[in-house]
Amino acid sequence: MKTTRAFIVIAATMVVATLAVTPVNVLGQGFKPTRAVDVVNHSRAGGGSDLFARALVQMLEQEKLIPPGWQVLNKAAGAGAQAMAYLAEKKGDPHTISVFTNTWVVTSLTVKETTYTIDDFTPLVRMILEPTVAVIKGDSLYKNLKDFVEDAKKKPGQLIQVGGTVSSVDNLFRNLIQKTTGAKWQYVDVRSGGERIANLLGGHMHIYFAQPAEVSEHVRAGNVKIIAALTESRLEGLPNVSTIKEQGIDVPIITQVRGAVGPPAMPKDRVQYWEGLFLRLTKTASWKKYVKENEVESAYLNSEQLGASLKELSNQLRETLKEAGVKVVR
Amino acid sequence: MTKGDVWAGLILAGLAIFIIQQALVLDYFSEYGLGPGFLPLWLGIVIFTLSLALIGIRILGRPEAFENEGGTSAGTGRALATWGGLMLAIALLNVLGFITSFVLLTFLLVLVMDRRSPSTSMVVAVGGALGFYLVFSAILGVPLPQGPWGF
Amino acid sequence: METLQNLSLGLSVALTLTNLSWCFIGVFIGTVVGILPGIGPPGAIAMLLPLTFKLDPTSAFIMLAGIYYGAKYGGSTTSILLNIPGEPSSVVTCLDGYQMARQGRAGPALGIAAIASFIAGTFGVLGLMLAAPPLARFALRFAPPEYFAVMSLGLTMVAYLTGKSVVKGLLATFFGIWLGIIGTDLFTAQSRYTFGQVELVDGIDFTVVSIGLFAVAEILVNMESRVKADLFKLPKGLRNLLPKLQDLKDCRFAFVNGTLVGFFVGLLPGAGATIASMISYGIEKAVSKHPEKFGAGAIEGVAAPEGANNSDAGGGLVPLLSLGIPGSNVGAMLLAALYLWGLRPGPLLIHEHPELFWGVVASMYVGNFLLLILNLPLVPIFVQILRLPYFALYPMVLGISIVGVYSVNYSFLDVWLMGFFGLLGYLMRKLHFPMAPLVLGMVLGKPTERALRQSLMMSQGDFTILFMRPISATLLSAAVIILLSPTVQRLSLREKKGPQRV
Repeated sequence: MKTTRAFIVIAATMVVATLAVTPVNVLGQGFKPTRAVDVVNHSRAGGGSDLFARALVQMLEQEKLIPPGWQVLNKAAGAGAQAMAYLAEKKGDPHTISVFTNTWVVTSLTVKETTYTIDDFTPLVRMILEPTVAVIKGDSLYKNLKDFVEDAKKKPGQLIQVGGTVSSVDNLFRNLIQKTTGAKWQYVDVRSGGERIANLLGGHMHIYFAQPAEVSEHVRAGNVKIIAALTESRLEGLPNVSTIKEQGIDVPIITQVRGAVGPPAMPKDRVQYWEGLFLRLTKTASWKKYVKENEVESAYLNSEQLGASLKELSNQLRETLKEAGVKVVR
Repeated sequence: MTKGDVWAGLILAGLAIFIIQQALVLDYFSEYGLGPGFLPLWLGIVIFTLSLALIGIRILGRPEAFENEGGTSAGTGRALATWGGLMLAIALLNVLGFITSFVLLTFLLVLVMDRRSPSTSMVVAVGGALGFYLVFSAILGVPLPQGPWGF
Repeated sequence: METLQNLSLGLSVALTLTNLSWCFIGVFIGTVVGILPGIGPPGAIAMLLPLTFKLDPTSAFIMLAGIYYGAKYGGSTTSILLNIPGEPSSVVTCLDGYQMARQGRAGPALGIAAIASFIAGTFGVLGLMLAAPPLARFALRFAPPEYFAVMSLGLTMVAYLTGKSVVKGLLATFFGIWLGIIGTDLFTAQSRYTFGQVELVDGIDFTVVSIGLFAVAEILVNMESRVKADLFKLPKGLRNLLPKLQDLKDCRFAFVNGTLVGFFVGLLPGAGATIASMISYGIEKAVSKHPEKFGAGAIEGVAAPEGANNSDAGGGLVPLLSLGIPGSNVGAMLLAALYLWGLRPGPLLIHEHPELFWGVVASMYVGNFLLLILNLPLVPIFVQILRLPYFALYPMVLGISIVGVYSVNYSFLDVWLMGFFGLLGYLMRKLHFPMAPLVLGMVLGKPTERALRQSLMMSQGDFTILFMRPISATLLSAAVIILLSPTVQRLSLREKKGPQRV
């Protein structure tokens, strides 16, 4: 029961730390949490958002920006729906925030059971953008995405792309590329990232639009290769991989966003606290290391900018989803 | 249990009709191959057929699976009363919290269903609740539903 | 030779005092997590993860892996004693384990579960050690059509689980499949049978259904009579607290069956221990000389699924450690842990960090042994639970059920549903609808549908893809043979039975 003791120690430290910061509030120098904050996410333990939330808390602790003891809460049901419902319930609670991704926007647009949508929450910060790259098996003959597309034109419907749900970024890219190039290939939706790579390595499916970190080890081992970056400009970590636009395929770029939102109608001083905290985090060594290791782009936006960017993303996704044949309910 | 089987058959047939009716709203084919409506439609049809078969076998009296556990109606009443108590406790979880609901449920079950003395019932209820609090809340940190008094 | 050298490297890592302690802490926490329903290994690992950052990655991985396979030992405890499935993968253990407890054989049931777990767990590690890279390559040959064939093979096990009425068995199966497909359709994001509830968008959790059907329903049945004195026969004497030599002999095949099925299903990402335990139970019943004893306390019915459940752990680590492909939630958590510790899990991990791979492998031999000597002495202690008067025992079971279900998703709707499935289970028992097919249908229905639809996406709607690929064709033929054989068996049994009846 070592864990328990550790938790008790953490809790005690937390109380002490809390007492120490209280006078600051009395002086009225803006908001600061008075107890441990719950960071909600919409994944199960081990899922993408869960890991992101845990990494955030870990880095904030390591850089001594917060006292230890912040909890990560998993509200995994309904691809963001349960997390949104939970966060909405916490209206007025200064000690709950949530991390979000594009999934929240897509769920808001496509799941009719959700009572809340991304627009109901207080945007806090955008932290990272996750680029997408096109990946094929190492011994495949295609040199770039253009080759793949040309081959797909020759044998429509015979090449297979493996990916996430039909409303995921990878399928939206497929639809956009098919539309501009006239090529046709199949899309098979496979549940977990691991199974997707397995299908690619097994040669059962031919292309996968992945995040660089997912495949970097397989690239290093020569099992797969990256043939295009589905981004506006070349990636820092992959200077030799040309972008999709350089290869002559002109499609709008959709990017996976990660950041944080708060409960509905959060007062201004609290928003400022969160903006300040996360902005400071982006300046730390831990953050720079995280960004480099996970091959993502540090892309801080404050509350107001994030609000505008979410509206834009929402409109863009609505159109692309409709084109992808997904029923949009809002 | 002939009657029971016929009722089960009727209820399952009703469920099957609901499944089919909902399945018809879903797409049988989609752009990506078979649609979300494919399996439910056939599932509904198979359940419907099987439930009719169940009713048929019972009414025609084929000697398939003719065994009876022979529960008394008083026994069934006791089982249903226990279930009612459980559901009531579940309803109270949200209001009174887990510990209080559990104490109430256990006290009443042991007192009424098992005819133990109030003191025995109370010991079982409070002792059990303490055990749960210790193991789940204190040691493991599972956030049990809380009542207005903080536990 | 190379393997031996590597193993001695691994042992030199695993047998240091520090790593031995971490291994023990891991398997101990695992056992506790396994015993308590609801709290699973992914949750426990997530909770402990922040504490591991100060450790050496090898020590940390040894501990977390200990939680993973240790939980599989504990899962059988509540299944056998209280009919509460501690983990989804130990639902099948309830079928015969609980009946054994009723007959005063709780000790042998718990003992055989630990022994089967030990044997299968150890052979699982052996497989991981000897042939991880080639086995991982073999697993890569499985694409959706092959998965469809595996799942179909699993579904044919229903033929052996239906009980006396075929119609009722089939109804239970299809009802289970329907329960399984409630939620969002993976491919089109359309909702199916969610009744407008946000909590149902992700479907009904298997734990909710199984705890309701098994634990709660059992209490309702027992409440029918006021006097419940003879509910559990109490084992007399120390001798009856552990399996006898005859029990071990009876389980010879079950050990092999459980080990092999668990390991191979474990190799396949996304198949899972629950499926492995069900398939091995079905096989065990199918080849048994006395299939009628299954469901009424057959000791092989405990040994096979518990074995499968444990060798699944070794199988699951094959793609995880040799390719960096996680096969389950726990696997994903372990993979994430490796990243967070600054390692790069992938195809090169074994070569670049041999001390980690071989240290973990060696620690798993040690860990399985620790679990055996930890769990066997616990058997007599756990059996004492049954000495509690029933009026004090069943409220605890109700409480554990509520807490267990609530702690899966912290959802009140789940607890309501558990109550509903309790009543359903009671009615099913009264009307002699078998429970096992429903559970099987719920676990296998949706993956089968998914694999079928994925296969047809690959082939643009051409069904022949299922029969043109060698592995899937072989497995599907096996499924057909299994479906046909009970009919044959039944006919021959009927002939035999006639004169034998006294």
